[in-house]
Parts: sequence; C-alpha cells; structure tokens
Amino acid sequence: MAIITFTLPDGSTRSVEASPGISLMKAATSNLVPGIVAECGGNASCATCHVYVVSDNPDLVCPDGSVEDEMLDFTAEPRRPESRLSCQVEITESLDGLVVEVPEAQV
Amino acid sequence: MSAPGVVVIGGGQAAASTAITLRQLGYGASITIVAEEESLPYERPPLSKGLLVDPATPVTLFDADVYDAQDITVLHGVAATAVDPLLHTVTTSDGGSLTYSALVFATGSRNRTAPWTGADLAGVHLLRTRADAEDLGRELRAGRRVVVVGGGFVGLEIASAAASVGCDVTVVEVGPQLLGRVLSQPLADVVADRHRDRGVRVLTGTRVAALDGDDHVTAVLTDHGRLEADVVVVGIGAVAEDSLAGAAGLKVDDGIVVDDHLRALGHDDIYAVGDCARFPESGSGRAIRLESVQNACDHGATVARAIAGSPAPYQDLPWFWSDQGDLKIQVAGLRLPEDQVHHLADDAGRHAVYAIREGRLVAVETLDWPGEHLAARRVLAANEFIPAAAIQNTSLSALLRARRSA
Repeated sequence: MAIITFTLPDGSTRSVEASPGISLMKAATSNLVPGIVAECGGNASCATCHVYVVSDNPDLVCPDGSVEDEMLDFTAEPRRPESRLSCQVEITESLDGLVVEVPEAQV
Repeated sequence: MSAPGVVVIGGGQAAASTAITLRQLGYGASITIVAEEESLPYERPPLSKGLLVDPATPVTLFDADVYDAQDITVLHGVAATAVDPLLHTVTTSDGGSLTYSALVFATGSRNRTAPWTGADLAGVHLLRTRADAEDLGRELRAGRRVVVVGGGFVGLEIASAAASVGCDVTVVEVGPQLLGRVLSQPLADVVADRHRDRGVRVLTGTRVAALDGDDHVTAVLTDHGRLEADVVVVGIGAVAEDSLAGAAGLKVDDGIVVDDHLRALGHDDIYAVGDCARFPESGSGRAIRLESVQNACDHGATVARAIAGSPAPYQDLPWFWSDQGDLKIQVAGLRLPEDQVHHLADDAGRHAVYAIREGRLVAVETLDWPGEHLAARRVLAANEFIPAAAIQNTSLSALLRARRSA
C-alpha cells in the first residue's frame, strides 16, 4: 500500500491508501477526490485527470513525445514541469508518501 | 422512515456520476440507484475495445465499498416498472415502491435491432452490456470470419479488436462513407483506408438483405453478394430507452425531452441524463440527443449540482473519442452536414478536419493528433471566435503555441 496525499485547490488535503498496480487516477476517483474527472476512464483521451506531482523522482516525469506529453500542452490549467495525466501514473510501493496537487479546473 | 431523497433509474455511467457527485457536494438525503443489470455501474467504452480481447480489463467504476461508505443504495437486478409524478413514487419489479424528492432518469439507450430474416440465428451478436461483450469476446478467435454490420464507432472498434486477434474481418456499411453520423467524409475516407491497410475489408454503400444459416449464421446476404460468416455483429445504432418516462406522461421524442437544466418539461423534480435525454444544444437551442461518456458524466454532474442547490444550464462542450486498434479518433464540438470543412494532414500521418459555420470554427475532428484535439477543446469550450482564415495554413495547436510565446 502507498499513502498518497492530494492537495485540493481550496488548500485542504485528502490522504488515500492506494494499491500498487492501479493508476494514480483510479486511486483518486475511487476515493472520490474532487477535481479529478477522468471521463475517458484512463485512456489518455480526455485530459480531465491532470495533476501536479510534487516529487523529484525521475520516474514520475512525463515521457517525452508520448500522447500524454502532447495533451498536457493544452490542459485547462497551465502545464508545469511536474504536470501529469494521473491515469498514466502507476502506483508503486515507492510512491508511498507522495503529494499530488489537484488543479483548479479540468475541462 | 427517512425523508425521501433522490431516486436514479438506470445503473450506467450517468447514474453513477449523478450519485457520486451528489455526495461529493455534501447532499445528505438518501440516494437509491435502481439498476436493472446485476453488476455495479461500469464503464461502457471498453466493452467494444479492450474487454473484447482481454476479459480481465477492469470496467467497474466504483467498488461496492464506495457505495456503502457513501450511503448510496444500489438495487441490483431490479427494474423500475412505473413512475407516478403526482405521488412522487417509483414502483419496482421486486414489488417495492420508492418515494422521491427528485427523480433522475438515466435509462440509457437500447440497440436498434436487426430487421433482417435470420437475425435471431446463433452467432449473431449485438453489443450493449458487459455480458454481451464477454459473449462476443469468446467468439473472436483467429481464423474466424467476422462480418460487422454498421460502420460507426462501435462497429469499427469491434472490427479492430477482431482483426487484432487474427479474425478475417469485413465491415458492411449501407451509407456512402464510414462513420457518416460522426465524421466528415475527408476524415472518414482516411479512416477507411487505414482499416483496409490493416487487412479489414470495408464495403460502403452495401445493404444487407438477410442473414443465412440453419441454426447458426453462415453468411450475410447483401445487395453486392454473399459474405461467408462465422460471427456477425450488428452495430446499427441505438434508440433512447424512454418508454417508462413516456408511460408516466413525460414528453418523449426518441429521448426524454428536457429543458436547458435537464429537467423534464413541466416537472421541476424530474431530470433526464445521458443517452436517454433529448436536450437543447447550448447556443443554438436545437434539441439533440448524444450517446457518449462525456455527455453521460457531465449531465450527471449538472443534475447533481441542481439537486444539491446550485442549478445552472447545461453548457458543456460535447466531445467524443474512439480507439480503433492503433487509430485514435477524437471529435470536439458538433458538426452539421451543411458546415464547410477544411482538411489538414501533416507528414507524420496526423489529420485534422475543421468544421466552419458562418466563417467560424465550430468543431474539430482529429486522427492520431491528441494535442490538436485538446487545443480544439480549449478554444471551443471557451467559445472563442476562431475565424476560418486563422487555420487556413496552420493547426490550432500551432496557433495556440505561437500565441503563448508571443
């Protein structure tokens, strides 16, 4: 299990337990974390699960030239170096303690 | 007895979106989902894609413990049999009766059935539910001859899945182009060529006359000849599941007719969401009905906000996607047949078609170009005026990037 903490736009936080193997998006939606819409269900089709991953773990950087990389250029809230589509981030034990910032808007 | 709360009829994605959003907004009264299917609400998009080739593909939206923790009651395998808008009651097939303070129809749509002789033969499939997808998936095995009737999104997704496991696949479409309801001809022609490149036989302008076979289907008879078949999949569209609403006296017209707040006409406490709702398009007011996951989710959220005390008109930009093997088709906005189209293709094989109405960009269709799709969603959702001339020689994504660095 990994504990992931989501920081919401109003400054509040939500910590959830996530099983390795599921996506960061699923960890958020199955715990009803607000602000992660995920309409396409994890297909990298909709870009409504944008988050900022607060970490210097190089494994968490969006792969260059991926579909995700292309979509992040046009998310509702501006892209930052730590931007990810949470459906493309797989939970591992090593992510225990990760802090994830949820942007103001998705669509 | 607790105070009446929300009753949602239907157990799909629009129902789940309504119920979960209500709780996220702090709605405190009871919420009951009347779900005819035995399973918990699940995602439908994977049924015609991943689930066909991998039955282990997860599709359940929320596990049972989420509904328990949120105090949302899901009645499985129970159908709503009658609604009384005056008494505010829903009668159910298990003999029960539910009282509501707000009622949400999320009854979805049902497949248009095949009108041909032989449509009831074994080996002829329709796809709507998870069980349908599991049945069909078991039939898709290498070497089998699969005929898909209907060249829409679902038909082509099924064709791609079948081809990917080694089936010999033919798509039969009665219209002059594939995807006639959802894509412009220039992009539909590119998609048809890509499917042909991948070994799928694509027959447009071909009408099915009958299905042949004794017990099990053996062939599809068309006005252009006989197609031998081991498996036939019929994907010729859907109609709104609105009979219960009609019987309750609500206005229906292939869909429950609702106002811009998604309220049934003349009923302040009855809503319709997702596939079953015929609603006014934002801006034009044209009554439309959409079958998409975006529509299901966003309708549900809009109605949840209304019930929780923050009503607002529904204005979300429609968008669609279809993954067909390695092809990614995305559409933002609604094109009309009379719109002008401008087709842009680049060296990497990416395509965009821009629909122009009265000199203004109104919809964008893309193939394998997710960045362009997102750029289109940005400008169309913001109602930004993009003159046709601005995208005559460049893409929207290039335009937005240039604007940023200016």
